[in-house]
Amino acid sequence: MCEAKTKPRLAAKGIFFKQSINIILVISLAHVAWGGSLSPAPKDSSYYSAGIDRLVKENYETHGITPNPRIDDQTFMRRIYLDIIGRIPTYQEAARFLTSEEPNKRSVLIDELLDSEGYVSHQFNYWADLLRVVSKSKIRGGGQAYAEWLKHNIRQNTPYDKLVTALLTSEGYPWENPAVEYYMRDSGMPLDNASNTAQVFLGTRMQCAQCHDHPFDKWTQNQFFQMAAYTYGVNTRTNLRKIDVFAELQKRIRQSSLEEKEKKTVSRSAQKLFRPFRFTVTETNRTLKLPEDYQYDDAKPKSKVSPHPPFGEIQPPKKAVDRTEAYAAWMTSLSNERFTKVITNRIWKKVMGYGLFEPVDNLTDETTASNPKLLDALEKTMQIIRFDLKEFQRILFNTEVYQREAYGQDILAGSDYHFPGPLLRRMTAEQVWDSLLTLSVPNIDQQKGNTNYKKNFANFQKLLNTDAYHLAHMSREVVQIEEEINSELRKLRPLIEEARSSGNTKKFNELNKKRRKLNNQRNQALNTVTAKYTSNNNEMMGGSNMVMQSEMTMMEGASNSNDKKNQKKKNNKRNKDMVRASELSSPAYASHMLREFGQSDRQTIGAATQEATIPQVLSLLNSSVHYRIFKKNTVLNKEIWKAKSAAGKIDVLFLSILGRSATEQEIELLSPQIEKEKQKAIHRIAWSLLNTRQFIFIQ
Amino acid sequence: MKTILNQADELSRRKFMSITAKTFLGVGMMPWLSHQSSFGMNIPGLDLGVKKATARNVIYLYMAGGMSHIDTFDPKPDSSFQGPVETIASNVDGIRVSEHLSGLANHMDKMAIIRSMTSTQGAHEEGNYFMHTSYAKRGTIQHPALGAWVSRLSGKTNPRLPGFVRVGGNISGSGFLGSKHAPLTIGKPEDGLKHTKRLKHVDDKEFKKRLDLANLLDTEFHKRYRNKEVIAYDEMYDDAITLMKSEDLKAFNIKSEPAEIRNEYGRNNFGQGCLLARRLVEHNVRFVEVTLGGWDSHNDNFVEVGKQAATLDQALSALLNDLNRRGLLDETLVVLSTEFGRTPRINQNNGRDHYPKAFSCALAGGGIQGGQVFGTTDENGANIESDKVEVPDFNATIAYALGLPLEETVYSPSGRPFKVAHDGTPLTGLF
Repeated sequence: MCEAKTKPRLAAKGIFFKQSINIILVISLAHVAWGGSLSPAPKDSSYYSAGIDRLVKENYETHGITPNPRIDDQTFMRRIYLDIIGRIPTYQEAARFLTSEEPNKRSVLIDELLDSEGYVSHQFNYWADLLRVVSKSKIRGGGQAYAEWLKHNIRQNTPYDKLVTALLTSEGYPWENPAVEYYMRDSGMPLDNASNTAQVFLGTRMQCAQCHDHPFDKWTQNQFFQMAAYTYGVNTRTNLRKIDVFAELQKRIRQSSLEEKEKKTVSRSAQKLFRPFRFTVTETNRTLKLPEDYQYDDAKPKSKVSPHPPFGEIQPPKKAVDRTEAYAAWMTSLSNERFTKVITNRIWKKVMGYGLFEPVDNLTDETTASNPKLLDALEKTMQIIRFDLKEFQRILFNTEVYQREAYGQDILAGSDYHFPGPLLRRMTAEQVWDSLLTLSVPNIDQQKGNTNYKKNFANFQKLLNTDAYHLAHMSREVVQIEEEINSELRKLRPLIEEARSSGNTKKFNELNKKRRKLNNQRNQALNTVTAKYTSNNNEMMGGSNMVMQSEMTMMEGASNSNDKKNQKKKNNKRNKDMVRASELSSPAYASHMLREFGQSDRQTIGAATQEATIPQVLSLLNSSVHYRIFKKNTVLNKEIWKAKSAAGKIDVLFLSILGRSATEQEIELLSPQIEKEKQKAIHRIAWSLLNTRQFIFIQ
Repeated sequence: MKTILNQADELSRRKFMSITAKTFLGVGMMPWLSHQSSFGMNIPGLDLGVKKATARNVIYLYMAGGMSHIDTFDPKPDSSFQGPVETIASNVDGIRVSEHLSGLANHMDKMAIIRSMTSTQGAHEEGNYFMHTSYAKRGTIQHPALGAWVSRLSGKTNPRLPGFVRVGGNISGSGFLGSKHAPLTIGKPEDGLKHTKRLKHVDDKEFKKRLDLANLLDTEFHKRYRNKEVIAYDEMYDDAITLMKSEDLKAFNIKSEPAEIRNEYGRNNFGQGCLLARRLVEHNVRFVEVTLGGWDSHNDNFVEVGKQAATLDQALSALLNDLNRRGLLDETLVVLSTEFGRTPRINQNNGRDHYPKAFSCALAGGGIQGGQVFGTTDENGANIESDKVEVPDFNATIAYALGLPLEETVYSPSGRPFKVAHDGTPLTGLF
């Protein structure tokens, strides 16, 4: 795994940004330095923040813009929590910040939030949308491991260029290197993967050029193919026969005394056991050819394509199997302008709500920034801080422009925006979900999702350490289990069908339950068998523990009277759903509240939306969200209980849900309601607060 | 202070009246309105006769990922590229389809197959976008999907329900036309529209009290922020509250269908989505889109296409049967579309890759003459031999069936001119 090289944050003063001459000087210094072994020391973030503000202000003057006033502490607090850790602050967190008397408490809070686990969660959602992270992978657990790998790198603050390099040059099984999911995700679609890579990292749309010269941009089909040739050698599958123990196992089955028919079933079962080993990423010397209907004069249809980048210089790969390495080096190099430009503008947009150029991922030669000088300076900053995205955000969050009142009018498509303040934004789907959970679940950032994939991976690897003799027996036993359960299932199927078509719901549910139970039994039995055989020649203690554990689970399954345990299991399961969006499957299932509020379906880059829909409103009006925040021991409930006076309770409600105090008139209006109607009034106020625009918008 | 509830009622009524007025004065089609009374109004004599619509509502089935034409509606039994999929006869002489469509083979008399579709977009997102909007995806504007155009150009016929509903899929919506014309999206058909009942312990009076309070708490916010995103939420609250009170909500409840009907469609999201679509058009929702994904068969094409085709075959057969039985087929245009076809050549993974050059789509009901094939491809399904149909032509045909004004220019907020099918030419011969 690649990790960040930790770099001390140096406090230094300077006059960077003061005059454009100085900018150029420092920039050229930076460039000279990047070539050699020395690099200029990155300065303290406030140095860059001030520089940005100067350039933004210059632009106000040029365009006659009156900047919005600086926001108050409450508005700042809610905004910064949502922007950095992706959720609203709890009452405690809010109170702590608001009562703090530290002079630079905003900067202190920014630092604190950037280093918290909530930051990892929020950044993950952003990248999961851009990288189209899907939990469901070719190999069970591959997608989850990838998600965890991404979080790990966010936590370590791996520099962005290193992260991209790790993705593009990844090889191996997902348990060895989860980054391979970047390719595995588009298995069998190398051309789509190539155009997605260009779009997400270079903001360059080459999709059109997959089939013909780009109609609105300069790219030719040939250029697209030359670019795609760099990653075309990446293979996502392998032949199982290349794995020694599997080949031996098959030989043993073939040479066994089993009947021919049984040999076949056992052999199939062995293949199934080893299925996870079929999917691995390796770089081969596979050559890309032009399509057979290639219609241009510059090359012949079906001719071989040699790799060439669409722009810039590249160090050619030494061998065909080094293509991704050369490509990644070209992609992330400091001289590749688009690479820096795109990530700089993406993060600027993420923080300010609008890009310095829009759209962020359709760069053409005609693209101009609304403030070219600012964009240029930001790009240089990004390079000087070596793609440290956390540091870059720290710089932006500390600017005056970020800490101004939000702009709440429309920006007409095609017109420039000069940042009198950040844009008013609707929360992302994840921010909505995570904020609602913040009201109910204590320590929400520490609650983790399902990590079963690790167990799967451990089991796969055990197979490799098992000898063919045991594996053969294992395959045979698996066949027996499968046959047994399958014959039960076969009997059940027509009965289920019958119950369904006759509309006998009760019977249908009963039979379905039976079916599920059989499936569980099968899984448990398979686990036990796996543990039994793989532990025999497994030196580690873990092996035999595993058998015992599995057997115990089986016994538990057999005694169905253990209601308490079932209840506990159920509760656990429920808690597993009450975790932050980043801990759930990616994407969440289609009818999940997250999807309702526009979570990306992970099919295309940046597919998340913040558009208003009727189901969203219905959820806020009538869903169990309102019950969940008032269950026993929820964060909100505890605080309300602690506050004794009506005014105190109102303060808790407003600060917890909207991050602001109630006005005097509001207290005057609501206090009598609480005194008279008690709990009923509290529920009403919470409901109403959640159904304000203030709740789902970030000011 | 005026309550939101009252506002909602009046607002949607006013909105509706103005939409209707616009429709008749500016466009003047929808002849059925003169004898249609589901919203309690008769407006005779307003048919200005631009063109008589042949369809009232659309059920639009979208095959996401790129449906292999060769393995479905355009089989090539004599080609070396055909692979293992057999070709079968249908109930119309001379029309043969793949064995995956054995159910639909009995409905060919109701369908018009277009075998000469061609698109300029070979990537999913771009292809999907083009198919839905008739415009190539550009960085500077979001074009509206066809369903949003229908809503914009001819309004709703049932003011209490959304005009455009989408089951699954989430790529293009109302674009520059704004959230008013955006689809209502249903995630899982079985769940229908969730959360339409007030919370327990919240009666009508309390509900109103809560809404009033929310509105009051937002006074300052509303003074300060008036962008289209905020307005969209204000409008959505109005619409959602109207909907909560509507009798028509039952349209979303497919669980009230008899088990045999539900089985007939297939117990999967797509099948049940088609059933939901039928219920919605029965309640005069004008445009319902249902997505079936999983057609992107780069690997194991014959297995993958077989699976998706089986789902499609069952659901669409059931839908055509059901609409026919209920006498709804004449007024409901059923559309089957996809972003592109797939390569005749079979790749090393036994799959087929993206192929925008030639593919198949189909239409049924809504005035379409069934039992016909429009356009042909060559012996390998690789090139169009006759009657090329571009994506805007296909969409123009749908718009034509609905009587939408193909020539009417609608301006985006930035002042750019757009038309419903981007100057496509409708295939009038299909009607």
